[in-house]
Amino acid sequence: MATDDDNPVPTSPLEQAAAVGDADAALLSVSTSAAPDDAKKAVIYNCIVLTFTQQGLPTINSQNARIVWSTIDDTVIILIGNGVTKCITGKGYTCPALAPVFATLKEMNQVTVVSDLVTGIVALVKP
Amino acid sequence: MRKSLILILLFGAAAASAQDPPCTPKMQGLSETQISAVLCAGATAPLENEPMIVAVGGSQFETTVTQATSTLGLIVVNASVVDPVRAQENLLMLSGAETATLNYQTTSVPVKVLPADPLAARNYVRYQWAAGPAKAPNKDPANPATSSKDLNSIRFQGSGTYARGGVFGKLTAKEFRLQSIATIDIDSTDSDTPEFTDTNRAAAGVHFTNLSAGRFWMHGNGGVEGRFDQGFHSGVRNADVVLSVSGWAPFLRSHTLFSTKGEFIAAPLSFTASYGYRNRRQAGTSASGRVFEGTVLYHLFLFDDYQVSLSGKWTVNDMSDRALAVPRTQKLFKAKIAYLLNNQTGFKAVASFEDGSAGAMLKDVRNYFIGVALSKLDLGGKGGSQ
Repeated sequence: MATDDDNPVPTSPLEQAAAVGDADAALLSVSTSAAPDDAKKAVIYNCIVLTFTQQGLPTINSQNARIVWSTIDDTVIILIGNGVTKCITGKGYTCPALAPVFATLKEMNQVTVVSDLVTGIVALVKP
Repeated sequence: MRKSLILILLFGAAAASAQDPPCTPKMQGLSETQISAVLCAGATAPLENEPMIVAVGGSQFETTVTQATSTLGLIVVNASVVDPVRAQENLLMLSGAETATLNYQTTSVPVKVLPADPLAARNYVRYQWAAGPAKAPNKDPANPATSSKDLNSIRFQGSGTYARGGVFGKLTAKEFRLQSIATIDIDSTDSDTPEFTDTNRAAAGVHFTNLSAGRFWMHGNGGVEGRFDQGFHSGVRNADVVLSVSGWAPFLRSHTLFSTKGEFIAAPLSFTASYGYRNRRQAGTSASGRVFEGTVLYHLFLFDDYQVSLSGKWTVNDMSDRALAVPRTQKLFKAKIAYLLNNQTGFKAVASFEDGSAGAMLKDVRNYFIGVALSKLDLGGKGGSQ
């Protein structure tokens, strides 16, 4: 049985528009604005996935994947760093050379979660 | 038994993690106008918009720091070259260097230089070694009184690589893609009993680099190699001249099984194969003929924190006057287990099991090994000796 709680009174102009059947307004009323970093993170993640696959590593299917740098040859590490940098730069961003970062992560024997890597690179990429 | 194994693994991992992880500052000149550097945590970071001098060999050039950001546990520095007229000259200078020095404020930091083009032939030196106790089952039928007890020894494993562009400094032009490498690999013990590994090799060769055939073969090398095997305890020696190929086989990707935290991304199956002429001396007699050697390395990840590296080595001694004591086929299988304590320290605690024989070894061995490894890596610039 429907109650007043099931049909709350529209309070904002957008919600009021949604209530009268304006689909665009309805979508706007429930959506949150995208953070500026979201697009950047998507670009970086896609560039990582693309470059790792191009260099013969398994396809990264999830941001939970963990990169074991120690198994990757030094030459391939530099190719991956150069590839990710070039890919991000090609999307209109400014990005420092990432090969020294990846080579140091290997030297330190680290295992890096892809989402952490994306977040770390976001801090380096401008604007 | 399982508890004992885990305790031993954790002990090894704790001992290894007690050392600070190695971190060497690095830099790369990826374009004519921009250089990037990585400084280790705790280093003094340069200030943005301040000058930073890059000293390479007897020369130097000025940059302006555009970014100094702490991320991924490192400090990443980006700087733009001040004098664009000399930019190309600076890049060439960096590409042939192995080290440089960054000078900013009152700080001076030596850094290793990574090549902008890693496929160009490079000069570098690399080595690693490990030592630890080793056990092997006593299978000596002539001494049954001790057959129920394991044999003990101290095992030493070490390897070193000396690489030069071109043919050891000659023919260094970039289009040749030639790399010369001399290596030493030692894997032996302090015991004379043949139950333990005793395979030691010195080799030198020249290879073409960057060979590939799609997903079937990537990051490949192919060339000619001379090598010398010597058993320290058996006295057996092999002298070979062979053609060799190596690389990755990406279609045989690494796999992660039973993990709840996410897949591990690691190198696919890698391999080496060689075919050529062998001369073998054993027990005062000499034999010669054709030889084939093949090795593979494959990484498998189990649960959330175990890495199993499986490797195999096959040798076919197809020698016409081969003595009865010389095996025609030798197989050596090895499994290394590493444990992931945490992502920052990575996989540690090497424990290994191996079974079989290779090279100058006279009989099959079955070894268990637990040790703590130390290593050092030196990356160099590209090109030949300058």
